[in-house]
Formats: sequence, structure tokens, C-alpha cells
Amino acid sequence: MRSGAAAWAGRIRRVTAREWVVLAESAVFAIGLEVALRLLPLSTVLGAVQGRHVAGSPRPDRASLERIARLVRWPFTVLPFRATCLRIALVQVAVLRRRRVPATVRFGVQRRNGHELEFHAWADCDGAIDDQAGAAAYRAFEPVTPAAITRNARWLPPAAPPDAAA
Amino acid sequence: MPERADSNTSPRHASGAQAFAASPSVVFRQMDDGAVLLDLESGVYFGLDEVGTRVWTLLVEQKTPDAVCQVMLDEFDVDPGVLAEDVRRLVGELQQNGLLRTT
Repeated sequence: MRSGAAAWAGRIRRVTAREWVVLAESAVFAIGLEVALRLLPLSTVLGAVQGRHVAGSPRPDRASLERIARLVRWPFTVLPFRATCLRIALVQVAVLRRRRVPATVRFGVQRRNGHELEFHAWADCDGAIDDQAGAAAYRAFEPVTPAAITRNARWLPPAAPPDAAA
Repeated sequence: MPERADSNTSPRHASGAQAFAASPSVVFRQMDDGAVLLDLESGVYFGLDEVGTRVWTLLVEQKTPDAVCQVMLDEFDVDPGVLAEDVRRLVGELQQNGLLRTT
């Protein structure tokens, strides 16, 4: 059986020069975002990460996106930060947007055991990228606009009183 | 991820004729038994039951608390005074927690 170190050595040997760039960027973004998240509101950090204009650029194929997203996870295995879904998603989006991919951070919620709320964040580009936590199980949050509310709201009118049916 | 809000402080007074809008940092998710509001500014989430969700839905359609009460009186068998007080208190709490702002 191969040891963990040997497996890592094998993985590292397969990393191309471009992928080393992704790894380096990911490490830098991870450190920068860790500092930013401690100093700034999440909305400000999100705005900075997603603010880069990416419209009209050719998009890499799905396999390339997923490969980049997986590479982004590597630095978190050695950096002394908690590799939360939010941190990973933020770095994935930052790295992808540097490559002009219109990725966004999505937030979702699901009920666990019927009552407890569980939250998740993931990078999204026409579907979740690097979906290790099963984003499909979560109901994605939407911006609050009257149109979004109207589209999502499910409200049953009150039942007609018994004498109304006569 | 966010933790549940603890809003046990007294709400700010909300005028019944004042229109409100959701804060731009708030995102919304309808659930089977209500809704969840996530404030990306603070990272705190807030749960609404079905009635609270209805109040929120009407409020962000640019309705005033008075107009919300008018709509809900047609939907619920409730004393107008009790409804007005409940709506006023909820609006105050939403405002106090930065989820709603006046327009």
C-alpha cells in the first residue's frame, strides 16, 4: 500500500506549470481572504471577490473548472485555517474570476433531522463546481427583490368558510 | 456559518404609513414552514414562521405596515388591534436587526 507521502508525491508530479500557478494563487487568496473575513463584513468581502468584470469571455470546459476548483482545496490542507465551505468557495470564485469565469458564491440552507437548519456555501457557474458537500440538497438563497419573493413564496389562501360553498 | 439571531431587545417604533425595503445584504429562502433570512453583512440568520414570512413578503413588495395589515385581515381571522401590534413589533425587530430599511 502506498503511504500518504508517496501518494502526495505522485499527485504533485502530475501538476502542470499552469496548475502550480493556480495553487500559488489559491494560497495567496486564502491568506488574504482569511485576513479580510476577520476585518470586514462578509458582504464587503463577497463584493470584492465577485466584483471583477468577466462578461463576454470564453469559458473553460466543465472538467477544467472542476480541476481548478479541486486544486484550490490543496493549500487549505497545509494552511493553518479552517477549510470551511465558505472559505473554499470564496477562493474558488476568486481564482476562477481571475480567469474570467463568471463564478459566484451561492448560499443554501436545508433542514437536518426535520428541524435544525444547516447552511452551506459553494462556488457556482451554471451549477455547483466541486460539489463535495452536495449543494443540490440545499435550497439556495435568493436576493430579496419583490419579483424573487413573488416567485418563491408559496402561500395558500384561507379555506372558504363552510357556508360559502352552499 | 451563521448563528441564530438573538433578538430579545425592544423593537424600534415603526410607523404604519412608512414603506420599507429589504437591506441589500439580505438574502431570502422560502422553506416549507416559513423562511430564512441571511444577513451577509453580519453573517447572522433569522427564521420567520409562516405568518412572519407573509408579513415580510408583503413588506418587501413596498407595502406599508398599514397596508400589510389590510391584506392580512382578509387572510386571517384575527383582531385588527392584535394584528397591528404584531406587525409593528415584527417590523421593529426586522429594522433593529438591519434586515429592513425605510425607503
